[in-house]
Amino acid sequence: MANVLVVDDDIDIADAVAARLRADGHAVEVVHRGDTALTSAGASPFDLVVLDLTLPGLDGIEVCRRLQAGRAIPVLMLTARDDEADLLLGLEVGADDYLTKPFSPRELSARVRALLRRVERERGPSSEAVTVLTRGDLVIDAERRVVTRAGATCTLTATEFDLVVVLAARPGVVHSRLELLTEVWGYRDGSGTRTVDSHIRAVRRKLGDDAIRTVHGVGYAFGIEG
Amino acid sequence: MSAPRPLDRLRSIKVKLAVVIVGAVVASLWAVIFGWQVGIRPRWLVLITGVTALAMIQFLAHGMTRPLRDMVRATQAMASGDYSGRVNTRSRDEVGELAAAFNLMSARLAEVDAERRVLIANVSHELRTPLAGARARLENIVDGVEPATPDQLAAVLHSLERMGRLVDDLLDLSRLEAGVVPLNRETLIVRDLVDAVAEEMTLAEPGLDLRVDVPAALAVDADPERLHQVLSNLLANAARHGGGPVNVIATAIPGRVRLEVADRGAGLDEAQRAAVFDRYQRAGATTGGAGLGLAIARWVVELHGGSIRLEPNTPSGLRSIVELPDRPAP
Repeated sequence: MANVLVVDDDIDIADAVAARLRADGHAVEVVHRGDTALTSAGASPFDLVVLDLTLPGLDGIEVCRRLQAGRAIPVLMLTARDDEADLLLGLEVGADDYLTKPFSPRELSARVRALLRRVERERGPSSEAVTVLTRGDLVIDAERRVVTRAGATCTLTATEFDLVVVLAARPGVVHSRLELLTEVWGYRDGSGTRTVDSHIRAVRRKLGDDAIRTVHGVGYAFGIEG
Repeated sequence: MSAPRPLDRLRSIKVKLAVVIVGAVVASLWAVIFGWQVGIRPRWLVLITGVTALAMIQFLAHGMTRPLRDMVRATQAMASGDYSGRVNTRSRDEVGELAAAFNLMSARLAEVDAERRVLIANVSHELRTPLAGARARLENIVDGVEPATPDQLAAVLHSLERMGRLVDDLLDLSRLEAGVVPLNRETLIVRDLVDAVAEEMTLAEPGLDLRVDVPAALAVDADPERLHQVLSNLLANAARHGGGPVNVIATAIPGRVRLEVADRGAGLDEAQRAAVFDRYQRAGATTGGAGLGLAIARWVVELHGGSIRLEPNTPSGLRSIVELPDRPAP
């Protein structure tokens, strides 16, 4: 189905993840160091990377940054700490999703499937009739996947871009976290609403606080009138 | 805060109270005499005298009890886990001393609290990795993704053993710190100790290139079980962080026995070498150990009246050096 790179210095975890993904029909390569992960990613094109945060050689944050610098490749981070969601998802690193150890391989498998579905959807012909959306001073070019605000280009990760497109498509409409999870991430269960919050924060930091409005107790809405 | 505190310089609360009382009495006497002379009616005179006395007390005693009120507030904050409260005072009496002692105590408590947080963070981090490995394997086996072969189950067992060791270390450290571990000292042949630890290490890490250089006659007065633990922690560190051969060298120096574990790994820089003995510090984000191994080693060695330090190895790597007195301290 897809080529997946699994990077974890713990051999048990890496092997178990690889076995699960192989059972799902993916072709899996396993490496145990940060620097060799970059070498492998450079040598063959992967559709997705499952990346541990603490790695010998080069830590997961740096690996993720360099992976994302090349081309947008979906990254699912594995971390031993709960409080790093913001750091991992966008503010610093730009990962697409994360799981906290000890995680369930079933959930990992589901999230990998969802991430891959999203990539597939993006590669396919754009279903949006309008390829350029203009909202106030914000211009979203869905074809070239570029966002500019007041003429300045804003660098968004793939996930952040999708989030902005979904919100801007219906300005003023309030989207619940669950709706966003389903629309952007493709998750059907309710887990990971924190993922949404972290990405919203990252988008606000890049486009300005007024770009997305928080509707307390409900969710988020696009904030720029136009 | 800006109002004057005329009595701050007095060193005794008794003297302060005496000054306040005398001041109030003198002021009210003065008010009575003054009022009498200008012919104020006695009913009003009582009122004026009272107000004058209160004003004098307010002026002189200003700020005397403020540190106490601050302490009450800080103590209440501490009870709910906030150790940042400090009491500001320039007062030099017993209340001032109490405030200073209070500040010292809250600083110490904050330190201990911070250490405890670091320990919990490290331990939970270190528990999560083997827990994640075991869980992932077992879930795979349950779901039929992987077969339940002895190899797979051995990997789960290995993860469980890692968690068990971590829990043991934690218990050891808390016992050592509480000072309830008695040393069972005896004359110990260093060679026997090193051989026993080396055998265990080679079983655990078959690929390890361990080179032992210990004179056969060298003896030390120590608790064999505890010293075994120290050496095994040092060797485990060398095996984990080192690369290439690991040397164990023992030598007699006047009055002491020196035991050295040297690896050829990446080593640690000076700041890291100083930091690893702080309780629960780990060198960088490397895996394995919650930073308890060296803390335990230091406690044990110091209980024996010895010393432990880290030095860079040449051309690369780390030397862990333990020096123990060769006979019991008098």
